[in-house]
Formats: sequence, structure tokens, C-alpha cells
Amino acid sequence: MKVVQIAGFLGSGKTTTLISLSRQLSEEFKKRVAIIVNEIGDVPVDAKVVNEFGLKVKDIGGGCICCELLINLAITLEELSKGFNPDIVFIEPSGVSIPSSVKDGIKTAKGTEIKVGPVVVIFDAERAEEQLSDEGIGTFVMRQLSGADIVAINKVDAVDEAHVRVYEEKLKAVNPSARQVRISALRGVGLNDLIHMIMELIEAQ
Amino acid sequence: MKKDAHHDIPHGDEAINIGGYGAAFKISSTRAVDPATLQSISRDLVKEIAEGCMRRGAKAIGHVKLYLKAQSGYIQADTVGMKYGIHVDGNIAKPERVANLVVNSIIIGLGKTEVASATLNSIREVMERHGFSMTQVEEARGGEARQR
Repeated sequence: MKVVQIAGFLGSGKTTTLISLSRQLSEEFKKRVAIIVNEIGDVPVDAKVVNEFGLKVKDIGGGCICCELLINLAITLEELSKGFNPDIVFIEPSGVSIPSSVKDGIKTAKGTEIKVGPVVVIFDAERAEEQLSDEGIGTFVMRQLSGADIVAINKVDAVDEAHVRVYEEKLKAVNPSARQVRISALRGVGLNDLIHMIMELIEAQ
Repeated sequence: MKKDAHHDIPHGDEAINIGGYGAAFKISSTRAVDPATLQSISRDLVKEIAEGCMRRGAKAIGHVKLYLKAQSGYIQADTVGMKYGIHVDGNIAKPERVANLVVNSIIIGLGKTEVASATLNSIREVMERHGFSMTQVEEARGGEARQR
């Protein structure tokens, strides 16, 4: 059971990406997929939407899984492993989670079959300037990106080519070892490339 | 009954203040409301919450999300800021009198009390305008704090 994070700041497009990836992996790759969703607000919306697509979803709420709910993450992974035995578990941490902390939480889950998979951080190309020009948010987004194995630059359909190139360079400087992919989760652009990157990294582990 | 959340990003970055509020409601109308109107109401509600939060001094919208579930389908609507538009998805197949509404607002630069107030006021106003009565309901969810 490989545990893959789909992280990123608030509103970056995590849920939309997650639904598309999960459906494609289930239908085309015949993988057994489960999803763990963590939302800050105590009443979840994302888990309900994911559930509408017939996907196996567990909701961890009431806080952030990278800090106060880290233990719940480990327990939920153990329960999924025993009860559902998926090939891949996608975790959607809240938009204010730190991927490296979530990764530490995954490692505490008991069970030899639970393996840490790649970390995908979704970057919102449309709101790039707004976020990175703000000192606090910019620093935080950069911190999220520094923990990525794959940086998925989302909403590329909403910006021009020059804009995407500028941010590809900037993000490369933040995390030189991460792979980059351009996507539009809403339009289905680049998702095949993202799936192949995820599968390559899983197989290489 | 009220549900709210607050997250100051205690991850070494005190500069960002994020307030969150989520609530679930049962809404009902004396007449069946057609799917197009339900979609329009969903859009209006997301817009009003986002604008209400900005009027109260929010720095930016983290997200405002809505899920409206009725017997014949669901609608989801969200925004990350009005200048980026509102995304509406899902489908309700036939006119409905009753639905469950879940709203989640995560706002940058506002405290939880302000976010809760702006969200609740907008929900009340929009529902009243469209002739819906509403009752807040408790939402059960997995993920209560547990100890090994």
C-alpha cells in the first residue's frame, strides 16, 4: 500500500486533481484506490464531493493532520490497510499542512505493507503572484513546495505561456530535485503525465 | 451546535492568520424549487460569503465551498476569490423542496468569529431571499481525536 500525498495551499486544486487521478487509476490502471481527506473546517465538504464519485474516502477532521491530528492519520492508514487493502492511498492534507510533517506521520503507521510514496504539491499558477508576493503566504507556500517530489503547476489553462515559464523557473530554484508537470485539473490537461510520474516514483521505491 | 475552527498556521509562520468555519443545515421550501434555481442559489451563496468576508477585512479567500445534497442529486460550488470566478458542478435532476446544505469557509486574514458571522449571515440572507427555511444540524464525521 503506497501512500501518496496531494498537498498544496488552500484553493490550489487538490480535490479536483485527486478525484481525476483516483478515477483514472481505478478505471484504467485497475488499481485499488482509497482517499484520506483532511479539512480545517469541522464540517467537511471535500469528503462529500469525493464520495459522490463512488470513491473510497476517509475523512479526518477537526484540525490539521500535520500537527494535532498526526496520530489519527497513522490509525486511519492502519485501518485502511487492514480493512480495504488498497494499492494506493491518496492523502489530501489541509491547505495549511506541511508535507514533510505529514510524511513523518505516515512513517509512524504500523504495518510493513504501508509504504511512503511520492509527495505531489499542487501550485496554483493563477494565484501565483498574489500568494508569492505576500510575505507570510509566500514563505509558507515555498515551504510546502520544498517538500515536494513532484510539483504540479495547476490552472495552466487560465494563464499564458510566459507566466508558466516564469514560475517554473522560480519553483525550480525552490526545489531543484522535484519533477515539474503542468496541469489543469479542471480541464483534464496533463493528468496522464502526472499519473505516470507518480507511478514511476512508486515503482522506483 | 455551532461548528468552527481556527488555524493560525502554528508551523513557524506567525504572519498568516486563517479563520475557518463549517456548518451543515437542512433547508426546506414550501414549494419545489427547480434545479436551475438551486444552482443559482448555490452560486449566490458562495458569492455573498466571499464578498462578505472581504468587506469585513479579509486579506484573501482561502476557499468558500458549498455542497447541496437533495434526493435527485447534488451541487457543489466554490470560489478562491471573486476575481477568479465561481466554479459550480454536479446536477440535481428535478425540483426539490428539501436539501442538505454544507458550507465551509476558510479565510485568510480574518478570525474565526468574523468568518463564522459572515458565513452565517450570508446563508440566512440568501435562504430567506429564496424562501427557504433552515435548521442547523450536527454533522458526524470520522476523525475525532483518538489515543492509541
